[in-house]
Amino acid sequence: MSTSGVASMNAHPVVRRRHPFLGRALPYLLSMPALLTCVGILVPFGMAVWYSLERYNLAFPSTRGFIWFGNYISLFKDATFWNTVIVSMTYTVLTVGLELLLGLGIALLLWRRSLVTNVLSVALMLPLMVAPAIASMMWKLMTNANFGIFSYFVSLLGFHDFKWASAPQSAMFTVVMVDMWVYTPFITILLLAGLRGLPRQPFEAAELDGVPGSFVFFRIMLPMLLPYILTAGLFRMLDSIQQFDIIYSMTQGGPGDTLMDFQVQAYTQAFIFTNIGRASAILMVLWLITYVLSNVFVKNWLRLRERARGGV
Amino acid sequence: MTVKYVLRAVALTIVGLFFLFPLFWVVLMSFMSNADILRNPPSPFFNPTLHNYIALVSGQLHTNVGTQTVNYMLNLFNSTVLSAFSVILSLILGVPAAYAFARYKFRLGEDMAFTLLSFRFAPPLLVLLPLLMIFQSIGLYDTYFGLVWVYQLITLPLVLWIVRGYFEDVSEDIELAYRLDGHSWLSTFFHISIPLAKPGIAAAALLSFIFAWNNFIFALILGSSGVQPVTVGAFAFVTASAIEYGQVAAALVFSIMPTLVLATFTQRYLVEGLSLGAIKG
Amino acid sequence: MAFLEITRLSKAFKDHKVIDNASIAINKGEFLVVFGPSGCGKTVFLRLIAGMMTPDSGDVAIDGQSMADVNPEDRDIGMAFQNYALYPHMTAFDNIASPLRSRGVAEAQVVERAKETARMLRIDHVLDHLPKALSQGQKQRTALARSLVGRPSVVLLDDPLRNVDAKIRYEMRFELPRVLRRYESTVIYVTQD
Repeated sequence: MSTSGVASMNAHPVVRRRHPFLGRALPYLLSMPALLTCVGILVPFGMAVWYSLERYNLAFPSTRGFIWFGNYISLFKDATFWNTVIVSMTYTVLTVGLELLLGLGIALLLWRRSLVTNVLSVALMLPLMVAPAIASMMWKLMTNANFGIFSYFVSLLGFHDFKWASAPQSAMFTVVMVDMWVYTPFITILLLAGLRGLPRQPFEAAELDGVPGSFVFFRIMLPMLLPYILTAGLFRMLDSIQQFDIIYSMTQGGPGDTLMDFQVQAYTQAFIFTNIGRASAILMVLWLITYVLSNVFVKNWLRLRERARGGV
Repeated sequence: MTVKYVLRAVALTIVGLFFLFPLFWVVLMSFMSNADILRNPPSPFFNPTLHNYIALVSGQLHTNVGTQTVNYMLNLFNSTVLSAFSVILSLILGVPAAYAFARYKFRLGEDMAFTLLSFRFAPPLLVLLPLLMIFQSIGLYDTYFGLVWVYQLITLPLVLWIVRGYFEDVSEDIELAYRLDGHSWLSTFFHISIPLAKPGIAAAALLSFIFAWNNFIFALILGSSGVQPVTVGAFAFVTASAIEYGQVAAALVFSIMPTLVLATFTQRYLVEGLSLGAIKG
Repeated sequence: MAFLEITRLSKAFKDHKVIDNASIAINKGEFLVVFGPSGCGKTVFLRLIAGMMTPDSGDVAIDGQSMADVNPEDRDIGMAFQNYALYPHMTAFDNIASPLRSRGVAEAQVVERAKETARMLRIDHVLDHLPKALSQGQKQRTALARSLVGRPSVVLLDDPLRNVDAKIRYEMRFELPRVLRRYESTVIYVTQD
């Protein structure tokens, strides 16, 4: 029995012919803007490569000309360049190493859920939300020789007249501190998420078997956390090796060239010495390093994501 | 057992102090008069004053040599405009693209996704120098328009990265069901796909806003006093000698307040976004 | 000519031929059951008919018209999914009303027909619930209601009784045919069991 006057709404459907082109082109259409951005960025990138192959100094416009790898060769022969490399490497090793250690420690402390740890977890996110440049300025205020609260604290511990970022010996220490202040929470968040995602069984089994804590930590927990640690470490490495905001805001690379890492050095070359060619060469070297590192990072991260998705 | 407990408590306290004290102190400083700041030894007991904030808002700053006119409020406005528009543009460009990358496995797509991701890790100064030359020659230097496009280097990869994962989690069956109901692809995208990916889109928007707000080098190079955001503006403050330190502190507080407030109220979204979507729920 | 005609349909994923040269002719009002163990391609088969995937070769024709260039929304097909695929952010009522609203049916009609279908499947008392507040059985019947309410000419059922507990499955074994017969649809029922 037919149930209603409007038996089938679509007795003879009006069929809209599907545009085969539109269907197949849809993904490209959707991502067109993103594609254009990709393409767009190639222009300045290409220009940067070009500049690095030129003798190009804004103060001597008539000397502008193609010199192939001249900039690079003079870089590698220049002691200040190697100083730059050392500064960047030191900064990277110190920040990544210390932040991983501290971040892991804090994550372990916060692992057990309680009111205190929940509040602290939220509170710890705050430094991460502060612009690194601003964080550096904050610390600059607090390490001021005359009225800085940190200078005062440190004097209580016996370090009178601690020069913080004004002295070559302690400048690196100071900026590393700032970096740790801003970025350790990031590591903590990532590792905490990793910890909370770990399966319980191995740990319960270990407890039942009376396995000592250190064994559990080093042989069970760490290996399971390794992908997260690697992800966090690589991520920070990529940031630290090209650090600009923190160092520039604190000392613009000084005192002298104690803190001249890649980008700060490049900035100085470009805007103080107006040597665009050399600045670009420095940046190309840096880019190469970050390109290699980021490839490693993305592969590792994709693997981590698949793991988290499909279950360990 | 009690020893462990005490150690834990001590450790947690030290950690809490280390990360929160600087924020606390800078806020304190912003309410101090110059005399209180310079007092030695420093003391948490003082008469708070709104002096510094009033100076900043009114634009009349006090220095040892009289008053100086600085428009820090303009910097705040600039930050808001730049961040907001960058995020909006990134959402418009990025959400459909994220959908394409999530649903369709097309070769060019994988390459594009990878390239855009690698922008996140490339040294910004590399492209900022040529961009400066370009901008100066086509008149985009020190403009909102110019900066908002360049900010896409920060915000667009983030949106793509985060939102793609959320779209992947939206069941294709649900989308198909909606289409079989008689709705067009576009209708499905707006009524099903996007609403179901809303947490991811929100996380991406929030995180992008914060990252855009916190940016320093882009505006430093491609902008001047016209579009200067608070990060660059604060830097000018700190390096300018003779400005009262309380005012500097107040400027710093102004620059971090928006993101801190945003972060506190959207904490859950932020943690999800920050774990790079690598760890889902 | 048969109402639903599948001609030499083929679909392969990465060198693995999931559907190989399948041809079936189904007459109007017929009820076709497709058996097979999990992973044998039943779901792919349904998706090809629904238009979610394009076949590598072969054709699907409904009422004499080839579906090769026709979008899913124009195919006049209703489908009930194994995992229900209900819209989580809409009430059961809105889920069921969706096929009617998309075709511009007047709201009064929409309400009447949706309620009628819901009544027939005995879920009219939970229409204002969100899917997450429904039991498995209720979800399954909502999905069914949605697939039938528009009186589509073809109904695809992807093992709808799979995730439902034994008692309901037993009841539905009798109810389903009754409901489907009432609507006089052409049905393809795919199952493992």
